[in-house]
Amino acid sequence: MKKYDLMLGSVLLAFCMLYGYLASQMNVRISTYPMFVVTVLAILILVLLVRTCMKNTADENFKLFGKVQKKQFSIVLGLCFLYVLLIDMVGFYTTTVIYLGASLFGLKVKKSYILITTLGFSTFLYLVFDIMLKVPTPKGIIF
Amino acid sequence: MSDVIFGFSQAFTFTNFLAAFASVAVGIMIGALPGLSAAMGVALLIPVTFGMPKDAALITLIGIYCGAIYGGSITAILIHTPGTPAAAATAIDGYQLTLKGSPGKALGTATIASFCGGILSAISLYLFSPPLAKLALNFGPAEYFWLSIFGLTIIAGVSSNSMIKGLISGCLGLVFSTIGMDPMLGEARFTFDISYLLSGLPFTAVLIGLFSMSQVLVLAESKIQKKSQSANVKDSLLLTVSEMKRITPTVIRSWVIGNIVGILPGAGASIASFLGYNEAKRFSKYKEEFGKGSIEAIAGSEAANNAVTGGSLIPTLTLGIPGESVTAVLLGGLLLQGLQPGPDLFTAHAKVTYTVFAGFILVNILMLVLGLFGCNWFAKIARLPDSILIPTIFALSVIGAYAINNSIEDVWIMFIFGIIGYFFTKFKLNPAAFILALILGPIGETGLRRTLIMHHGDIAPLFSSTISWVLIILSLLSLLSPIFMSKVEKLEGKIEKG
Repeated sequence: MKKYDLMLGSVLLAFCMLYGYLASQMNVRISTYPMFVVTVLAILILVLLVRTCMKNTADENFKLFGKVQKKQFSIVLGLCFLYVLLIDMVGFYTTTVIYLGASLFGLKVKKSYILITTLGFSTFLYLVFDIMLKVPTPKGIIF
Repeated sequence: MSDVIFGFSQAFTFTNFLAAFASVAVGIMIGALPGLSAAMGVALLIPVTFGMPKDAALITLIGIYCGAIYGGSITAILIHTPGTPAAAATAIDGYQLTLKGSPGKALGTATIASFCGGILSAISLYLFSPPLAKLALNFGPAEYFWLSIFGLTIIAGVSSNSMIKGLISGCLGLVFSTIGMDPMLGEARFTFDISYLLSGLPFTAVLIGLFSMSQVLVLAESKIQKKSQSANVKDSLLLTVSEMKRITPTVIRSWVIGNIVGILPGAGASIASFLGYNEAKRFSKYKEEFGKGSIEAIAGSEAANNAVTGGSLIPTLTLGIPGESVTAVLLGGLLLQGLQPGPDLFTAHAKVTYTVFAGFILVNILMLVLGLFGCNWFAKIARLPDSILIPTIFALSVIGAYAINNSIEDVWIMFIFGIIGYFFTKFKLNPAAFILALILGPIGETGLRRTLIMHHGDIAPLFSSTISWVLIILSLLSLLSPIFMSKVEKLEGKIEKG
């Protein structure tokens, strides 16, 4: 975990510097509090980095993302991204049906279950959000 | 008193009864599904409750909370997989009873003990909430500043594996809470000329992203495996009179433990359950049965973790300091309904508050009924594979994030914070501390700046009142709490090893 904590600390420190820079560009009347908060954050990150450096390296072989099923994870994340991207263009319910079907297929669910889950869950969402709660879901070009 | 009676009459109306029934059932399902948490369930359901009357909405969220804490015990007992971390202690003896062919007795004990723990915690909810809320009447800007600091230190210091990471998570939340209009002067900060960001980050979308979508990614990273077949419950769930007599002292002891742990913010149900288990063993006449299928062990852990529910609602509703991640999410639901924690809840909104309190009792009664009659069915639901959960939870997250403001931008924010939440999990940061800071950040900032403006930049008034000093001392104590928590964790380790 040591390597990853150092990585985390470095990324967060870079974020602090960017945030501090942006805050310094603002009017001093509104930037004092953000500057104070980011300074505290930077100090805490430095404490994390120092403590991590002082740790022994017993877990050197530990891989944070070692057990991640890369292909499966990419499919899920990719489909989630496409789903959100297409909602406004195609319409919420059409996109939901396509997303559910594609995801279940990608996750190797039996065909009969794909059909039942996709239709059943889309109908459930329609009944709860459209009929019951009257949420004006994006219609897009289809539905 | 009239508000209390009114609360009972309102809680049992058809709408509230239905809300309680449905939410407890959904909560038990969420709790029974390993990998899904009570916080995630409440976060997902907040948008659904948005259009409901205030009392029904809050009863629904509390129903999910209580149901999920109890639901975790079903899979803990039947397949030795705790649905929630709070049921980890229950799994030890619960599963042993299942192996001995008495899953019904284990489930019955868990259900009855959970019910007793929950119902008894309602007493503290009624007794301690109003006086604590009255105390908040004495709060000025300086006290609100220290209250927000206290809120941050407790959750950041206790509920994370590493205190420094908990504090970093809280500070990150504070940083993100500065996005939007300056609370005192109304000038834009970190909005990059995007008008959508002027009102700050959409709280519910961030919440759903951090707690629900991140869970989707966590489920997606592991190999999807078929879930174990659970044992069929053939024996009776009802306990005999002698068994009831045997677990009664344990239940009462665990109620006290759970309540105290619940009121003390930061500790949570999982710690309470292990403490309840340990105390049950310490006082038991049948110590040798522990670890081999003791009903006292199950009662000890289950009564304690359900007693936390009422206890943790006390600081949440009165001071706006949630005891754990679920109540941090629940606080979001409360704010979304336009209700501010504090004395107003017991004066201007007393009717709603006491209806919710009575709803809390109703929820526990329904939990008992559903638990005794439906646990076989819930056990079957728990076998729902992750491959089905992944897309359905994400679709719910999307519509949930959208439904609050009917805004697609909110969905993108949810998506971004879902990915951030995933990295929070991987790097062992604390999403609850982040969320709490997002809520408390503006309160603290306004308190601090108002005090400084009122006293022309002098910081002495920040330290002038007794309440401020009490809050400062409590904040310091909570920063020392990891020492206590490491002892509790050692205890958990000992218990798990048997």
